[in-house]
Amino acid sequence: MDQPSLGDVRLAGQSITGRSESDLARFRRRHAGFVFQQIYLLDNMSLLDNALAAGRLLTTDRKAIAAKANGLFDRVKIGPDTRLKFPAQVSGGEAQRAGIVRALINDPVVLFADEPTGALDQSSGTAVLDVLTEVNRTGQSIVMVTHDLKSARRGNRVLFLRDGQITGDLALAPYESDADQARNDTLRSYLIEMGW
Amino acid sequence: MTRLAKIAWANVRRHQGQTASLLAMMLIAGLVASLGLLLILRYATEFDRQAAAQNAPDLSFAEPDTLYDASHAASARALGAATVETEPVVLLSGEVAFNGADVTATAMYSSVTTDATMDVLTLLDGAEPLTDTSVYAPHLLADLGGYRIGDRLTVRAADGPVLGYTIAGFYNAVYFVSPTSQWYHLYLTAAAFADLQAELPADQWTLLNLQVADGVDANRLYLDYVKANWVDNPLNTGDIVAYSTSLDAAVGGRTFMATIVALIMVTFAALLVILALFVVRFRVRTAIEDSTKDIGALKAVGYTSGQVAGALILQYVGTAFAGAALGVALSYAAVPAVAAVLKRQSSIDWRPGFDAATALPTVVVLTGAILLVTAAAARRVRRLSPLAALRSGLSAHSFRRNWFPLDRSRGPLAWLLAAKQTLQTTGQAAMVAAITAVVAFTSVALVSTYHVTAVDTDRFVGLIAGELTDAQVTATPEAADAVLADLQTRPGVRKAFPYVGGLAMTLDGDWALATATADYAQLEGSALYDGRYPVHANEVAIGVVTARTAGLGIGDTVTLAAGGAAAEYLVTGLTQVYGDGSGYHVALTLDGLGQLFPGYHWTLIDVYLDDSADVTSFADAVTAEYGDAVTVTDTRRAWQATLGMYGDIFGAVAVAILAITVTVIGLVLYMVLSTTIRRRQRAYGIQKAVGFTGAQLMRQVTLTLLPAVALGVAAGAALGYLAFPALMDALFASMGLPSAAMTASALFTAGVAVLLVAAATAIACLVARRIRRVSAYTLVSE
Repeated sequence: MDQPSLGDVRLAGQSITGRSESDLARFRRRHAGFVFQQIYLLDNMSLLDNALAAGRLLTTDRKAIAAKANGLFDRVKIGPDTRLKFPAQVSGGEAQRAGIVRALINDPVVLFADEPTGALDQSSGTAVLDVLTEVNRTGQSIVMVTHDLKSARRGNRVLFLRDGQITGDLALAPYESDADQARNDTLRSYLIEMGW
Repeated sequence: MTRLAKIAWANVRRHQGQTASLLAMMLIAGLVASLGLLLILRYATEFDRQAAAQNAPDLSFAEPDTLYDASHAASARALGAATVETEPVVLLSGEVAFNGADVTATAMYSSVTTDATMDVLTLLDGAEPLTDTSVYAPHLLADLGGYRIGDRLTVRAADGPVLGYTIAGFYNAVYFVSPTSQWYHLYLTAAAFADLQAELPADQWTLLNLQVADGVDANRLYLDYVKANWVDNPLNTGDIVAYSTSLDAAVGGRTFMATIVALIMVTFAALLVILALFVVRFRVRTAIEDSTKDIGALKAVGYTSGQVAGALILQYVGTAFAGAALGVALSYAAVPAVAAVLKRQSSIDWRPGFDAATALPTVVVLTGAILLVTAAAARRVRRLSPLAALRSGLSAHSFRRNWFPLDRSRGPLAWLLAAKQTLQTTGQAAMVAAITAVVAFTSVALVSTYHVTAVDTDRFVGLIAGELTDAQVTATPEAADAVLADLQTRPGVRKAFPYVGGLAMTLDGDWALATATADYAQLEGSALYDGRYPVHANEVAIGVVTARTAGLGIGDTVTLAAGGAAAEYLVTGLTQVYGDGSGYHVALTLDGLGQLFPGYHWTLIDVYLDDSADVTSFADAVTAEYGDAVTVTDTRRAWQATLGMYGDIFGAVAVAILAITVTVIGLVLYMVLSTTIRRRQRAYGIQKAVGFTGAQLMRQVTLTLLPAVALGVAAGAALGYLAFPALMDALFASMGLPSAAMTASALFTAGVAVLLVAAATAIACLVARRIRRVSAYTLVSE
C-alpha cells in the first residue's frame, strides 16, 4: 500500500519496490490479505459480498468462489443468515471475522493484520484471535502488528519494533492456549527486556 | 454576520470545485436568461426606436397610377388617417441576384429629393454622394444579399426592362426590408428619377404613407382602405397589383424570429435553474451529512441551528448570486454575436445598453430560487443534536436490500458493483436521469428544428411557400396559352398547370387574398388543412384563420366580391397559408374566379420536373425559345436564398444550446461524481487495499452514473422526438399555420442521444480520475 523510502521490499520471491500503483494492486489481490483495526468492510454490501468482491477479482468461476467463501464463513463461525447481513447489522466481532474471510479468500501468501482486535470488546477480540490462530495452524502465514499482549501471545515469532527499527526477535513454540504459563513468561520477559 | 460569512467562505474554499461548478451553472443560467429577457423586452423596442427616429408611417400602400387617384388619400383621411403623404415612384418587378441566387424581387425607385416627412432616409456610415447612375439601397442587400458599396444592382424585369445602378450607400430601412418579401426601396437623384419616369411611363406608381389619428385602429383602417380603394374599385378586374404593409406587420415580421429565439432561451434558462435547484438541494443535503461533525462542533461551542444553517445558505446563495450576476454581465458581451445571427432575418442592428429592468429581475429570481431551496434543505441542521452530530449521527446507512448478490449474479465485477451502488442511491440516479432527460429533450427539439429548417427543408419551405414547385414560368398574357401547351408536352416536365396567386377580393365583406388553379389534384403541397379543395366553380376553400375569425366552417356559404361583381360559394375545405393575408385566404377554381373576373387570364405556370431533369437547363431552354415573353424562376433555389437564414439562425441556436447542454451535463456529473467519490473515499480505499486497481474503480464509478445518464438521455430524446410535431404545430400556429405536420429526424435524434451519452461518458471518466488520488495507505495510517 505504500512505497519504501529506503531499501527494497520483497514478498513471495518478488521485489515490490518501485512498482506502479496498479501493479501493486494486482500483487496485493494475489499474494496478500489484510485485516484492519477498523475492520473496513464495504458498508453497502453483505458480509458474503464483501468477501466475494475480493474473490471475484481473481476468478470468473462464480460458483466455486462462492462455495469457498461459504466454507471460510463456516470456519470463522458466521452462519448463513448472518453472512447475508450488511456490516452495520452485525457485531464488531462478526464483522472482523468477515474481514478475515475477505483477507483469506484469494489464498494469500501472507495475511497482514493491523491491530485486528483494537476496535473490539474482550470476548469478540478473543474470538477473532482464535480464528487467526486456527488459520495459522493450517499453514497460513500471518503478520500481525499489535500493542496488545493477548494478541502478541498468539505469535510464533515476535519482532519488536522501536522507531522503525527491529530491535528484538523472539521465536516461540506454536500457540496452544493462554494457559501455557512458561510460554507466557518467556514472552513477558522478552517484552520487558525490550522496554515495553 | 461576519462570523457566518467567515464560515461560509471557509466552506467555499474547502469545496472549490463544487463551488466553481455551481457558479458556472448559475452563470450560464444568468447569461441565457438575461439574453432571452433582453430579446423579449428590448429587441422590438429597438425597432420602435428606429421607427420613431425615422417618423415611420403606420401604413404604407403602393398603387399603380392606373389605380391610384387623389380620392384614395381623401379616403384614407376619412377612414381615420391623421397624416397622409404621397410621392411618385417607379416600380419594377423582376429578377435580382441575392445571396448567390436569382430571386424575384420588387424594386421601388423614388427621388432622394422629396418633401416627405415620413420614413426619413437615414444613411449608414460609409455612404457616398449620390450620382445620376447610383442608388441608395436598404441595408438588407448588404446584410443578406451580399452587396457592397460600389456593386452593381441590376433588376431584370419579366417584360424587358433591365435597370442597373451602382450602390452608393445603404440606409436603415423600417419598411420593405423583409428577406421573404424581397422589397427594395431604392433612392435615385431627382434627375435620374425623372429620366426613369420618362423611360418607363407604364411602371409609374404612387406611394401613399399615412399615420393614424389617436384612437384609430391601424389594422381596421388598413382593411377598410384596401376594401374601399382596391377590392371594391370598379377598376378591379383581377389584374390589379398593389402592395401594402403596416408598422405592425413590419415589426412582427422582423422580430418574430428574435421572439422565438428569446422564448427558447428563457425556457432553457428556466430549465437550467430547475436543474441547478436539484443539484443545490443534493449538494446541501450531502454537505450537511458530510459535515455532521463540524456542525456538532459548532453547536457544541454555542452556535444556534439558525447560524449554522445561515452559513450554509450564505455559501450557496452567495455563489448563486455571484454566478447570476456574472452571467448577466457576460450576456452583454454575447449580445453582438446574438444580434449578428438574428440580423440575418430581421435586418435590425441591435446594440442594447445595460438594462436594469432585465438584469435585476434575472439576478433576483435566480438567487431567490436558490435561497428557497437552500433554506428548505438546510432545515435538516435543526434536527441534529450536538451530541449526535459529533458522533456523526446521520452517517449510519440503512440499506434495505443487497442488490445483485455476487454469489448469484453473473457479469463483470465492475458492472455488478456499480449496479449495487446505483440501486442503493436511487434518489441520486433519479436526479441525474431527470437532468439528462431535460437536456436531451431540449437538444433533440432544437437539433430537429435545425434539421427541418436547414437540412431537409422541403416541408418547411413548402409550409411557407404553400406549394413548392421546381420552377415557375411567368408568361405574357398573349403567350401564356401557347407556353403552357408546350410545357405540358416538353420532355423532362412532369406536369405544368396555371396557378393564380394574390388577387384581392372580399369574403363576406372582409378583405381576402385569392389563389386559383384549374385542378387542385395537381398540387403536391400541404396547404389543405381540412376538407377538400374546390372542384366546381361554386366551391372554395378558405383560410383557417379567416374561417375562425368569421365563424365559418366547411358546408357554409360565403359571398366573394371584387370590382363590383359578387357571387356565392360553398366552403369545401380549410387551407393554411403563410403570407400577406395572414390567413385571410380563399382558394377557387379558375372557373370560379371567372365569375368575379370574366376577362381575367392567368400568366403564371407552376412546373414540376422529372427527378432527372435540371432546372437550370430547363430555364435556359425555355428562355431561349420564348425570350422576353417568359421569366423562369428556379423556385427551390429562390426559396433557399430567402429562407436560408432560418436554418442559419436555428443552426446557431442549436449549436449554442447543445454546447450548453453538454457543459451542464458535465457540471452536474462533476458535482455528483466528485461528491460520490469524496463520500465513498474510504470504500474505494478499502477496494484498493484488497486489490482493485485505479482503472477498475474508475470504471466502476463511471458505470454507477451511466445507466442513469443513458436512461435519461433515451427518455428525453424519445420524448423530444415524439413531442417535436406538437412543438412545431404550436410554433407555426402563431404564423397562421396550425398544422405544421413536421417530424423529427430519427437519425439526428439518435445522433444527439449518442453524442450526449458519449460526452457524459467522457466527462464521467475524466472526473473519475480523481479516484487515483484515493490511497489505500490512509486506511492503515489513520
